Amino acid sequence: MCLAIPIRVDALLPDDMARVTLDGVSKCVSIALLGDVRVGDYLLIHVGYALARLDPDEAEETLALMREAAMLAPLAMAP
Amino acid sequence: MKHIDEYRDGNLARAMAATIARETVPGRHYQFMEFCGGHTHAISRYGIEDLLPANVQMVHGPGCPVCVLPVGRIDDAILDPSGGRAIMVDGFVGPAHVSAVTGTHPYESIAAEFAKPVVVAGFEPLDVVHAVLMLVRQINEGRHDVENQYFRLVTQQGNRIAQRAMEDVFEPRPSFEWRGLGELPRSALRLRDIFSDLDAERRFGIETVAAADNPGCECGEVLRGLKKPAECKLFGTLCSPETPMGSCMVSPEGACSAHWTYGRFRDRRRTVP
Repeated sequence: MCLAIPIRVDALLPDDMARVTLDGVSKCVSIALLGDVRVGDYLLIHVGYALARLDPDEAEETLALMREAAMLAPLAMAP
Repeated sequence: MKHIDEYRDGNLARAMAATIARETVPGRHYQFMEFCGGHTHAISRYGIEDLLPANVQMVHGPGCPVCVLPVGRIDDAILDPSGGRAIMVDGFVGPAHVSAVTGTHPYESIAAEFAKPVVVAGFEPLDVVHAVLMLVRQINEGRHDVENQYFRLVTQQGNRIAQRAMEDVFEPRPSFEWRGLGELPRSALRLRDIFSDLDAERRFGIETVAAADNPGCECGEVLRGLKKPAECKLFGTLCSPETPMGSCMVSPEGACSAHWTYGRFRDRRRTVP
């Protein structure tokens, strides 16, 4: 299944590899499919390969759009 | 967990669902198909169908067999191969992570050809609810565009480096038989000749042996969105994750497996007065 989650880069390693950590679990993954990865980036990791880099500004915008959509609900229905 | 927990906020999901309820046109029915198992799981696991108004329904599509198909072939999945009966779907939730590689542009021909909106969405529950709202809005406005809800990770062009690597190693097969969908031309890949020594199929002379399915298995109907898992008479009787009869139950991402794991108690609650 194409399940994957964004995980933070801790360290860049030789040979297009990087160490990533999630909830205290560390793992070495390939970053050969991405250019220009930096420590602190969040990468979408699938079966040991980073497929995409999460854009933190776009993530903020997504959450803002969701909050805006939630605000449009009638007050009685809001939490 | 950063970039995960934010998208699992139940209060925000309920408030967004209330917006969906408010924006749907009364008396109008909205039926959307998600064709990736990742969404099927999110919908079952987080009970998203319970949040949506009664006139918005999710049809659980084929999962990986179609999610990985070349795009020109999705029409075969939408139309009944026996000729004729098209599934009445108003729009599609497009897959998340495969789109990180392919980009959203392959869906443009589907949206145009079938005049149905496609919203590529993330696999977290808020992503799915958000995508449903975007689809409702497109339907209400009479649009059938490809929209990208998952733009924090997916782009229009996708991952070019990964696409090139795929092209270097794989080539399309002339034809491939998919469960529930039948033979579809150029719908699957194989290793290119230069990698034939790594290809178990050629190295060991493997031939595909046709294996008969249990005649009661309705995977094909479930894969095409014509039936719900619980409508198959094998579901929960002969067929369960321990003794699966069809691919929808074998694979953990299958619609039947997801419904067995997360959804079957909802059915029971509904039938108890």
